[in-house]
Amino acid sequence: MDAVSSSQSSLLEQPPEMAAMVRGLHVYYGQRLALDNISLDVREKQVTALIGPSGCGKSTLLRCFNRLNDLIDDCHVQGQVRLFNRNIYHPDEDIVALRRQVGMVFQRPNPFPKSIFDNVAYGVRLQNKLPARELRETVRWSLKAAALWDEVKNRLDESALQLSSGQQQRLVIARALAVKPKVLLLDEPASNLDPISMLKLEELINELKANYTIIIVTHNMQQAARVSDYTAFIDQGRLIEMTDTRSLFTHPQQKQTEDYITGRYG
Amino acid sequence: MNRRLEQLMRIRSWLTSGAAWHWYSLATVTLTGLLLVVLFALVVSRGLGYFWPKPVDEWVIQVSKPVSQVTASSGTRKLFARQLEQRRQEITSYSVDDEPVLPAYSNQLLLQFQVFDEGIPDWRYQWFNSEQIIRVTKPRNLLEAGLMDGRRIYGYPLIWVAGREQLEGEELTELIHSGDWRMPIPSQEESDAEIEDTAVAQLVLQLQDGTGFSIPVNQLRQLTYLNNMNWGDRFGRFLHRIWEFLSTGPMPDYQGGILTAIYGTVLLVILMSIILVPLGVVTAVYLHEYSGNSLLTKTLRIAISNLAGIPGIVYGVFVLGVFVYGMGAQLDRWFFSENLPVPTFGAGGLLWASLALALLTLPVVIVATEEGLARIPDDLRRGALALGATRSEMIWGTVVSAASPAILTGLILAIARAAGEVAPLLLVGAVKYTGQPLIEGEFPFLHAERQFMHLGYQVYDFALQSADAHASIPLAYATTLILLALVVLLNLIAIRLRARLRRRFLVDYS
Repeated sequence: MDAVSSSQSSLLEQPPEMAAMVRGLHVYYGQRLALDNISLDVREKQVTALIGPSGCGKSTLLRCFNRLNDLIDDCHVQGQVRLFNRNIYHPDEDIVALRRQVGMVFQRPNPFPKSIFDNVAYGVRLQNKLPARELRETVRWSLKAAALWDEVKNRLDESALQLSSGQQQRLVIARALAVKPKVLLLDEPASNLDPISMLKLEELINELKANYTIIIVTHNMQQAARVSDYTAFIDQGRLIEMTDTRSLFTHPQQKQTEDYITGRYG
Repeated sequence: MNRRLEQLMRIRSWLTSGAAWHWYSLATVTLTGLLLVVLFALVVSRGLGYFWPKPVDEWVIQVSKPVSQVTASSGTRKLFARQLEQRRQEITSYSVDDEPVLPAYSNQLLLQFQVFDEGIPDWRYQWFNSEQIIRVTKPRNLLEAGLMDGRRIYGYPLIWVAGREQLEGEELTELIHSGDWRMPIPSQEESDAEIEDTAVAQLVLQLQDGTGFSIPVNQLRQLTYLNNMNWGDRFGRFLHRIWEFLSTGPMPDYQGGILTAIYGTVLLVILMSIILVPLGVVTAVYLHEYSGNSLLTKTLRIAISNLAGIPGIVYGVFVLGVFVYGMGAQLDRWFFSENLPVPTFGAGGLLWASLALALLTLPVVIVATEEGLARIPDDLRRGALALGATRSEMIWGTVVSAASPAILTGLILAIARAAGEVAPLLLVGAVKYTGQPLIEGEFPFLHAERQFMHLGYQVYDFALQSADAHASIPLAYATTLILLALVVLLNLIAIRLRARLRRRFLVDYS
């Protein structure tokens, strides 16, 4: 163990099957409390869904895993987020290295205005100068892993913005996979897609969980039920309930959870 | 009565319906459009009119006073002249008992004609009463001889002499038509030895006063029977003269072309863009991406927008005072002291002029770039950061390149403004004439410290600074036309470039 990791180790010992642990997390936007004392575990190579009504803080929680909240000027975080036994909010944490470990896909497909190839190669090129052959191989592998290769293999030099939004979303996943992350954060990835693209994306998530830990935010409860192994229900900044997906949807322990999943919420 | 009321009501309802605004706005649009059409029509027709070959007639005129110093006697004069204008002048005369008689009118004609001042051909302009004119003819064998220095001489061909060979009459006419009058000009080594006996062929023209004028053939550029041309010939000549105008440098007496000025203008705009784009883009990126939205930023932004309203001449004075006399003089002391007291950078030149224009157009690029950056969705920035890009990698690698069409839009606007701007150039190095080229074949190739010629400055000079307005005003129009065409061309290039960028990114954030 090098000095930095040992300085980050604490009394909290992370069991090996856990990819991430959140303990006593508070997030403030200015004076407003957005997340209130969240503690939860994310199992490795499983899909964890975060559900809850709009504005409940589930996207804020998701962005704590790659510290994307740092971009928001008056955002203030307390508590611990541990990723593979490292407190990522430790002052010594290398944010750039962290973000290479944690890929993220956003609600709206956001390919760069570059060619398909350059989009996938973007993150790789930031890290190191690979020989052209290896870079091509990485791009090919990522596009295959994102189930997009067959659709774009003959037009890698065309603009990524020519793709349909379903293809764009898979391209963005390929772009994230290319830097070899361990965790994938998906922020309502299917909310702007048509039903067929959505199903393709869900299939892809199912395949990806063999190799990656996935955390997905969704407001679509059927989707959460279909793709996830564990589900956390968040309401007004609090974690109401978290358990395996089947139990949560069949036997919710909390009244609020039951109301929400049966559509009686609000 | 009832019908009148009904009509009034109808007018009232039409007025209150707001339809009047529709017509009002339509009228203003039409007016603006008409003004633009008139502007273009004027510039194009006057500009192109300069190149259209106009016939030269032989006028026989009764003169009571001398037409010029050279022809100092009275009587009749023969003139090779063009009529430029015509006017009606009122002549008030008084009868014996001081009662004004009915006003009489006299037609007056403005003639442009050729005179010779100590053997040098020149143009004169003079008004004549129509009564003075005895006869006007269009002699078919009147020849226009274009000289190498850009002058033109008019006369009847008399004789062509080359060594012992002589041609006259029909034979001479044929020779001129065939174009074989050009004798091969002897090469340098031969010419020294043989120049005495095989002197260059000469063409002798009979001028308007009947005297002969001998022109060495190697000084001749062109021979044209101006009054013996069909429309095809005229059009060919028209195109040829446009080409000559565009492809030759300046010559004395409003002859020659404006190639040097085109060079100067294009170089000026290119150099300006090279200074302008990095400055403007980096400033805009700082304002939009780094500085946050503090009060200071907002103030700065407003100040920059207002810079666009400062008159060009102010930038000229600023650059003259700070850069030319300050920095330029210092540079001279440090690096070019061997040339002092002749200034190198301490006087107006291309570099300082481009700097003045860059400062002048900086706000345009900053504002356009900032607007472009504002249109880049935040998701794009987050996407780059989430892949492990640092902030500067995100900004320079992704955001700025996505905003590049907007940057080019700013550059297009800047070029459009800068190419026509003359006021600051008056102070920092634009000149009427310079013999020093800006680009040379040897190091350092580009002489940015030298004075330069500029189309806009040429227009100003031709229109207002010339001693011979009749000769120079048409040139001002012709130059304006070229300037306009150049600005349009530069813009088209930039627009094409932008379209290519947009196609490449297939996105229109701008």
